[in-house]
Amino acid sequence: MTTSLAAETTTASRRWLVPSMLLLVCALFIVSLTVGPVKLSPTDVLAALTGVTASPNRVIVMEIRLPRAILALAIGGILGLSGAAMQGLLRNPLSAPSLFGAPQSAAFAAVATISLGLNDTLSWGLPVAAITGAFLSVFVLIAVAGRNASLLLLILSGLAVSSLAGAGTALAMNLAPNPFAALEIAFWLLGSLEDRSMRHVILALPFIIPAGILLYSQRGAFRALSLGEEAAESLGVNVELLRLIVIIGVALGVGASVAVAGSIAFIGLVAPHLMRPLVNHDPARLLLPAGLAGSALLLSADIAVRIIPATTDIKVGVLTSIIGVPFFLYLILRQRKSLAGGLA
Amino acid sequence: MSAALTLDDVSVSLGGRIIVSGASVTLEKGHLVALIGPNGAGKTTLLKAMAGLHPSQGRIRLDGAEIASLSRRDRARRVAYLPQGHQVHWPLTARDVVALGRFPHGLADPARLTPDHARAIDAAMTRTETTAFADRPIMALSGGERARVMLARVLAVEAPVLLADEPTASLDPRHQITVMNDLKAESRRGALVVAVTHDIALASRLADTIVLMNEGRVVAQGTPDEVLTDAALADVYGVRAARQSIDGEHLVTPWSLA
Repeated sequence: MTTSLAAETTTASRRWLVPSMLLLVCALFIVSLTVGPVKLSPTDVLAALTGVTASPNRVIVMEIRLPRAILALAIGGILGLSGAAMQGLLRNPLSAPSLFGAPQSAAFAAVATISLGLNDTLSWGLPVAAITGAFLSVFVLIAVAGRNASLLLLILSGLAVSSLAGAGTALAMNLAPNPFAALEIAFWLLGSLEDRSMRHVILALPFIIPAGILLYSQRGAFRALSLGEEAAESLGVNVELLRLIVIIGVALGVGASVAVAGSIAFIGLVAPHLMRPLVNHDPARLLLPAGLAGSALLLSADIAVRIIPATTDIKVGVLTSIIGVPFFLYLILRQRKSLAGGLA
Repeated sequence: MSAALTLDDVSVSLGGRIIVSGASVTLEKGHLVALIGPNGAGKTTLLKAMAGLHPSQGRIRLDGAEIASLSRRDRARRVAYLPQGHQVHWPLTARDVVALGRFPHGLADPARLTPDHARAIDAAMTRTETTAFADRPIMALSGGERARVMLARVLAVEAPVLLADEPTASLDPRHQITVMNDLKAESRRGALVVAVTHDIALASRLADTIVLMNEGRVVAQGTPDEVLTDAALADVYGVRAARQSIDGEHLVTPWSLA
């Protein structure tokens, strides 16, 4: 029986997928603590983490590298999960918050409140503003594109939303009181995890964790949505409510991420795509592995920017875009046939 | 036989336009009902209203209970709905698609089946003869195979009322007969099965009851012989039918323009 054998293999690989992704993320997390101007071995790191006495190593690990690694883990995870949730809701592998202008809008809202003097980069108002920006953009996108939106409608509306947010951000920089303020905004928009402290972790996690729980709790509904909105409704899914929950979850996650790390794009597109074949394309089983893959990707990218020799530090958001955009083109290429026929 | 579904003066309007007006029908358990009528007559809209998917005016009662008063989950357990077109957006395996029929009964993950869910899924796949390709992705199946898998999905709900929107559209003759026979068999198990169809020949042979719609109104309901009269076919479809009796079954085939 070849079919049942194949089924068993996939069940086995499915069972190992989450534990092996967890292992990978743990390993990358440790590596992330060892990399930097001061090279530490994993044993040094463990000693610093568990040590009680204040050695220089302990200061480096606890105050500089640990917040950075925690943020990479959390932000990568929520971006991967948001991407998978959005793709489940819209039933399209090419959808991701970053393509629809959510990070750009979050960034605009954050920048606007900073330049108006309402917030500084460490206040609670910043994630709240960024989350509001992200929420509005996703809400407008889904309202404009409507039910059963085609990819063409989504991409066009997303383009409009992100262009508007980009223009708004440019205006804020344009009106910045001095060139240094403009430079600060620009650097922050590039997306980076450098020099983040526990204060940033405390600012982001209270939003990112509920967002993750909210999106993950809807997994059964995403699977039912595979059959289309009407069939899902007939199975008892409240599609209107689901849409609202996904918008809120994505806005909380993306908004909080942008507020502390700037815009880091394409994790939400790449991570679910890498995991999808390993879960038999099931949009429900995809969520957890996609989140873990997002964490692994951002941790790796953040390790890479510290290893790549360059005169100035490369920003991690720049790196994910440089890798993500060709990947997006490759996805379009792969789907060219179906897209050419079915865009409208 | 008792009434499974009663519609009392049901009207549905979409975007300010009245699609169905004043529909009153009584449909009985154990019957296969064919809902027929020209394109745009309001068949799909009425079917969705029966499934509780469209807000409607008037009363739709399911075993005496008003459908609007049921919880989502309760309604989903009592009315299975098969939409037109058999779309599946991800290449799930056939078995995972059928397992979605257990969603209203609380099946969250098809990898963790209770014996009751497994029994319902197996039974539905056996009856539709889809067990052979249970592990194949749905995208890799032919149109006929996919239609049978989608039928198995609604059978797995094990609901007392099954509503199917053009279940035989774009299928080859063999699969048209297979699907209609499966629906007939489901009605013989005691369910009320309502199928929207354009296939008057199959409806005249297999349906217990025919509901004929035109321009948003139910214009006739009854047995095939009562409904499919020359006058009704000429009036509603503008066609004349050829009539034949084969093995004691009456066959009505649209033949020429009236």
